[in-house]
Amino acid sequence: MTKEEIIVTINDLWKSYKLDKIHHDVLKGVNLEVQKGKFVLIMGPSGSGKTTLLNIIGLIDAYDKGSYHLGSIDTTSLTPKEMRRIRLEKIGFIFQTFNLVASLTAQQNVELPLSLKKVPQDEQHTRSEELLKLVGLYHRLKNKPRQLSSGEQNRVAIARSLIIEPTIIVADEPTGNLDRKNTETIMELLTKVQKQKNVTLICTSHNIKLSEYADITYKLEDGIIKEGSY
Amino acid sequence: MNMRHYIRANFKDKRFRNILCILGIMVGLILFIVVNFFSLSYESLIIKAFSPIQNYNQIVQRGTSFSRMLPYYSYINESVYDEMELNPDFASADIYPTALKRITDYSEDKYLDKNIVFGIPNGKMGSFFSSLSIAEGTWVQNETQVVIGYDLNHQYGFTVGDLLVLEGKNYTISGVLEEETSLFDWFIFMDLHEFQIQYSMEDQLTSIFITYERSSESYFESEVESTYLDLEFLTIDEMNKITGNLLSRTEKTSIVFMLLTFFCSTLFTTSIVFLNVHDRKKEIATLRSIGAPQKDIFKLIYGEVFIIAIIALLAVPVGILLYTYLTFKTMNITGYLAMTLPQAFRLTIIKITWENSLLLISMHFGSSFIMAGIPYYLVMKNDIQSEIRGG
Ligand SMILES: Nc1ncnc2c1ncn2[C@@H]1O[C@H](COP(=O)(O)OP(=O)(O)OP(=O)(O)O)[C@@H](O)[C@H]1O
Ligand SMILES: [Mg+2]
Repeated sequence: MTKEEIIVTINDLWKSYKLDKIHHDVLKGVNLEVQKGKFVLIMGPSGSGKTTLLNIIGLIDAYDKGSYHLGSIDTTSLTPKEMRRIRLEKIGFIFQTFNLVASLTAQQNVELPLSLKKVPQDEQHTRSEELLKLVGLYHRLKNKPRQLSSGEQNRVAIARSLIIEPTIIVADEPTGNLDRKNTETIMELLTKVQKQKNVTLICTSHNIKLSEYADITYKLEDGIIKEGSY
Repeated sequence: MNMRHYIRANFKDKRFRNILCILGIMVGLILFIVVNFFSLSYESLIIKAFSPIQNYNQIVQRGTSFSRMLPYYSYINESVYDEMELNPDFASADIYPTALKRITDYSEDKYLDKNIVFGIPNGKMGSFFSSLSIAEGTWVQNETQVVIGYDLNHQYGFTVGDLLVLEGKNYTISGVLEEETSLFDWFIFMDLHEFQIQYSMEDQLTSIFITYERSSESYFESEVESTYLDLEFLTIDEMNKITGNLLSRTEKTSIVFMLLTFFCSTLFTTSIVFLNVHDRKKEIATLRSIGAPQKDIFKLIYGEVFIIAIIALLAVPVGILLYTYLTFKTMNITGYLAMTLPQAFRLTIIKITWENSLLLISMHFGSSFIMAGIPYYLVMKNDIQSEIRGG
């Protein structure tokens, strides 16, 4: 185990939000290590800071204290522009509300990160078609998000997060909007592609069932990570 | 997929709103063009009417509603003006060098007081009076000939070949006009140059004075007489002053209107872009979170403004067409002679369009783009993670 490559190293991470001039500590010294290719689940009560931690890992939020290394990169010294580049190159996002672009088709939504990377169109098409086939939506290429069910939208979001071949995917309650059956389908799909592509997946959820799919489950409570209490 | 697909998809997604915006801008632009060109044409008309042509300075007076703005108040007495209001059977004159003077003369026992002599260059007589036709004889061929109106023939018995003594000089009548039942029935037409010499008006400003139809009963009434004797000529200084005032007033009006139109259409674009950006706050935050370069988000927002601005520019040709149509329509309503105004207007349209539409396009784009910067700036300032959390 110790020989495995470590992709996320977080040491004594602190984060507070200022509200009405009062600082609320959300994260109070989080320590976390994630190995490459693993599926890590973070659980915890509402308001415990799961989204906050995930946003920090995904480089869309800053922290106050401590350190966070993404692979060999020390994120403390990164400029916003460098963070943006890393997000575009290395991080896949799956949002709770999927956040698909309403005006674009399923295929265009999947191709979006590639178009931002200025990948040629032909390559975009082959890769988006391959991924939509993988998530079982090949027949829905030209549909807009509003013509898709929640489960289907979720699968488009998964395909979008995978298309840049990220080293890490952060997923904030990816099944939060789905029923039990869809949750199973999506989790099976997500673990399948995650193993197949050997991507690291960091995921939050309220749903204890998700721990069945995860390699490791952590509990975030009182601003710190408590290991595997489920 | 590329940015262009994305921009197009976004535009289509909000097409109802965007088309509404385009229509709003178009209406503004069309109004702008029509009013602006109208005032420009008016300006050029004033300049043309008041500037010396060949050797004559002249004032054009017109009995139409449009030209009432011209300064004929300055030398037409109120009662005449009132009478003109009642009898809207006016005629008009072109801006050829013409001169006119009320005469008092006797000729073979026939009293010619209160008639009007009209001087006009020989060659241009036929075309100038295209609406009149000669009943007998020909138009004036040389400086010793005159053409008379119908009533002079009918009431006084002058015919072709008769001698007419004006200010002691003999003229041969070369032609008689057909009955017009208008002012021309009382007119005597002669060569302009001859007219200038005859009435010692070479150095003076001459006036094209357009009169109105009078009944023969009122012909000798003293009040009419006194009215006509009030006719005065303007000096160059007075004329310059009037022209200057008119031009500056026209200019001011058109500038105020222009600013108003631009303010409105810019406001329109801005609010639509604002709405579009506001609706896509989460989308833009998503784009930023997956690492979209600032440049691409800029393109996304401005692409839409660009499409709106480009389509709205259709208003330029539409406005010009509408303006041209309106101009001719107005001509017909106010009863200008077909040959008078349109020429001046047509010249203006052709002359102004290029420079003006260029100016228009740059102002239109400039204002839209500057204003679109506000929502862009605001959305880029937002915190990505709180935007993603929000709804
Ligand atoms: N932008 C912000 N400004 C102020 N406080 C914030 C902000 N974002 C989050 N918080 C606070 O930080 C705390 C943690 O929020 P976070 O969203 O990380 O919780 P969570 O564990 O994801 O909860 P849930 O399970 O309900 O999604 C909450 O108490 C929240 O009120
Ligand atoms: Mg959360």
